[in-house]
Amino acid sequence: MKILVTVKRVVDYNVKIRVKTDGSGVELTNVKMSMNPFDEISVEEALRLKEAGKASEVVVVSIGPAKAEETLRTALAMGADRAILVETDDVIEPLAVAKIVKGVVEAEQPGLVIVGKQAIDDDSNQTGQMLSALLGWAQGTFASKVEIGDGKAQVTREVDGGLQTIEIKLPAVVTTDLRLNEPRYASLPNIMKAKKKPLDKKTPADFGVDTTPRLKVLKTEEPGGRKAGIKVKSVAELVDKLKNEAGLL
Amino acid sequence: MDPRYSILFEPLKIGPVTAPNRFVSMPHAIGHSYLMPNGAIGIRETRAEGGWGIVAMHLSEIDPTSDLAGLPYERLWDEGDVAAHARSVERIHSHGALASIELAHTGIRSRGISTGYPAMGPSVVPILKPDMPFMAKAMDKEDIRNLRQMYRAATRRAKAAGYDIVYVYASHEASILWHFLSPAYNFRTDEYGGSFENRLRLFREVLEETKDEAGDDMAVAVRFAVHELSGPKRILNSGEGRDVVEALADLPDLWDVNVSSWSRDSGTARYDAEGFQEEFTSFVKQVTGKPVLGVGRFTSPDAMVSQIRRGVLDLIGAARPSIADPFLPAKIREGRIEDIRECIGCNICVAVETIGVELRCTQNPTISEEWRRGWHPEKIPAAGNAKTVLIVGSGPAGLEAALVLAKAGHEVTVAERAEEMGGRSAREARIKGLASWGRVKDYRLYQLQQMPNVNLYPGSELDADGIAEFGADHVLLATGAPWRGDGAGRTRLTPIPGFAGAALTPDDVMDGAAIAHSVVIYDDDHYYMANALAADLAARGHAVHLVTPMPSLSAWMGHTLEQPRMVAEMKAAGVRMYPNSVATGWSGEGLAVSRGDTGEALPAIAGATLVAVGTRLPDTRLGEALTAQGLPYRTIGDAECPGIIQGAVYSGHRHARELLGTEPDDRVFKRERPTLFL
Ligand SMILES: Cc1cc2nc3c(=O)[nH]c(=O)nc-3n(C[C@H](O)[C@H](O)[C@H](O)COP(=O)(O)O)c2cc1C
Ligand code: SF4
Repeated sequence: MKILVTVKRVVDYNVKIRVKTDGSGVELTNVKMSMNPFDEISVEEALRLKEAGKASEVVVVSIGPAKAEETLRTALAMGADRAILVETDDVIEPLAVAKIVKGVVEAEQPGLVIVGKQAIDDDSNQTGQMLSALLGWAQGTFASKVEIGDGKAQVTREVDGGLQTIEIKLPAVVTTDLRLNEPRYASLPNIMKAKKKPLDKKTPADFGVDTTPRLKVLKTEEPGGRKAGIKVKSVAELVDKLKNEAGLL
Repeated sequence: MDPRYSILFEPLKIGPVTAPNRFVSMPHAIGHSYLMPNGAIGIRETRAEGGWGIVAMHLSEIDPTSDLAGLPYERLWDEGDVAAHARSVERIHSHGALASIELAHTGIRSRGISTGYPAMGPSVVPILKPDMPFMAKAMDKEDIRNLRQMYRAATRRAKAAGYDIVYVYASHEASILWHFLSPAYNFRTDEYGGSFENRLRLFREVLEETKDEAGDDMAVAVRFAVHELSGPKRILNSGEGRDVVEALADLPDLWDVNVSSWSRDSGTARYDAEGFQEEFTSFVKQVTGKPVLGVGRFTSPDAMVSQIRRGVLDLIGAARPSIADPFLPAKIREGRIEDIRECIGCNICVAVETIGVELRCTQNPTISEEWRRGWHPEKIPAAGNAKTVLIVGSGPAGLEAALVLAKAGHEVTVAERAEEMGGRSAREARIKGLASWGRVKDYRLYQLQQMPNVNLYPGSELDADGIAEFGADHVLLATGAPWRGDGAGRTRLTPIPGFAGAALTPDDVMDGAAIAHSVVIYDDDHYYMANALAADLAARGHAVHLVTPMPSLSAWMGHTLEQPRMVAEMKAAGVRMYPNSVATGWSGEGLAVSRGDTGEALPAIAGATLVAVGTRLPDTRLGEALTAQGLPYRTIGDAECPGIIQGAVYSGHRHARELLGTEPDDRVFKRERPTLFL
């Protein structure tokens, strides 16, 4: 079975995010970018399935600017076999991403697609679900455990208040959650070796997908700073403030 | 600005002057002394530029009868000294800060050997340096009258130099006013001795006369230690420490309060937490209506705000935090809390001062280099064209070099063999008491993680072929230096019989090697490693024997002011200490030792595990393999020359600047040459 994994180039999770002064979005110029952490988990899961003999090949795909090649190289350095870059400088919304990935799926015919549950830049949490709908495949979202059986998979999902285990038919789409695994990192020697692994370049047009945005960003704001604390003189005053000002009691 | 921190930026009236904010760069010797005024001004101007509202001139001797011979302090003896001070003040003012000066007569702290005048005290007592065979003479009435005149004259000179705040200094056991006050040194029977009021008399007179001279131009601050945590312990905040503040309450314009002696005031991270002075000084604000300034290795804005809001202090003083990050206030103002380079509390700054050299700091390699090398703590000159740089090793040197080169605009890749970045600053930080060493890596890694031109790779051991294949324009080897296990140390340069193969090194211990219940640690390093491991192992239930060939444990910790506390820590932890004991061999069951001074054999020290803390030896194989391939590289940090963390950070910084091409080819930086009169 072949596994297809999507990876997205996003602002590095260590970077302190700054909103553009005009509020049109997040500052991306001269900002460190790297692989979406949920996608690292996806790649890791695919590699573990391959190492366990459940998969024969791991193909990674990214949709984004030329620089996303670096992100794919990281996935190759982790151990993926092959990469596909669908190159575009446009902003690609989840639906367009899902359509392009559908095109890749049709060309590659994987038995399983692993998608991060969301990307840490826009937190959409939509691509996996849209992809499964477009393909008409089963989906196992927010996975914290994946077990591949004969023509089916058991997926343990992180749901409100606990875990839910479902069985889905393959081929399927799985979206990964934080606790699924602890991803390995790409070491420098492996990054250098990954330069020799195959990487195909495509464009959205190759899959006949129109990427014109349908959403409009009205405003982007930084979270409000914490207000300075106050000092109360007595327990009675504290209780009073919690009741009447904070409305907590 | 974050509203949580705005209180730190509220101006404060101090007598006739107004501090622009609540940050005070405290009086601290900088090793440049009156002999190197340009370098000294460079340090203080950088503070003012970094946002400190008040920038202090450290202890300045007012007369040749105060003589800290051999220690790098400042002087304001006569009119001829005013010009250098005036220039310093002018540079501080140019950034909107106030300038203060700490006038001092060091009394029985003097040595009276350089200037030729005897040290002076309230009584005939030994000078406060028991290892030096000098005494202080008892001051007679005329001496006291002269002394008061000296203070008046020095205050006038301070005013002429343009200072905004003048100090009456009575702290750290280093002021004649303290020596008169303390019943430990004052055995007089006249009106300057005996009762509390009599012992306080000189202090009060000097304070009143300083106020008189300061007039409406300068504020008068008192620096007073309200509690002695070491030394004779006669001035305590439960007794005369408090009595002094009550007696002089509203006389000064500003109370600058701390603990004594210096070793406790500048407590290290191993023994004192941020804000540790609060429990001793917090009473002061209840006793006086004047603003109160205090210290406590403050690096976090939350701790600072808390001090002010809870009514402990009005002004936040920082000596070491201002050395480690001269731009600390500016960073808080700009909301760049993550960019603060926090003092690690290691007291290397103090150690170099006690040996009389220019200020050095583990966290801030640019200190002392502002004027003479033109190094700015925050700005790195941009590299003309971006090159690729591969740095092998992510210890203090590797990370510092990476940061400098990345800031300059190069494409920097750091390859670390271990799974964790940080080298020794990560490894050693796991030893009991050394957690703050981790700040060396924390600050640098965070900065590097923000930069798009930096790639950090843990778990990436490279050999010469790998380095060649990477194909960087520049290669820096920062691979550190492992500890030797053969017994070779600082006092003995050759192996000790029975050590090789049997002894564990600190690296082995840090890597979790199996250790028997009873451990012998042989310390021929004489800094923190042996005793920190001893404390760590003792805390984990081992019976620890700490043996050293030197007459006392860890001579260098005498310079970092930690030695007495370390010995107390060992004692409390049940570590058995064997100073003056030279190891002659390890039998597998015990250490054979002889007396360091006489050579007599001593009873063997039994133990099942031996830990040898000697010297470190860089592994040069990678460099040699690169040379064989004809690949140029630089070796930096401990890999070039094993040393303390400060040395590694400095090395990384200097090599990086050299690579940028901004350093003098002949290695000679700007110097302050003496004037030739002949
Ligand atoms: C290197 C060094 C030199 C110092 N020299 C002086 C001095 O000349 N006069 C003085 O009053 N205090 C001196 N101190 C003490 C500091 O002013 C301060 O009280 C002490 O270091 C505690 O503050 P901190 O925790 O912010 O470092 C010195 C401290 C250091 C670290
Ligand atoms: S040398 Fe150490 S204690 Fe001194 S300022 Fe620097 S980091 Fe802090």
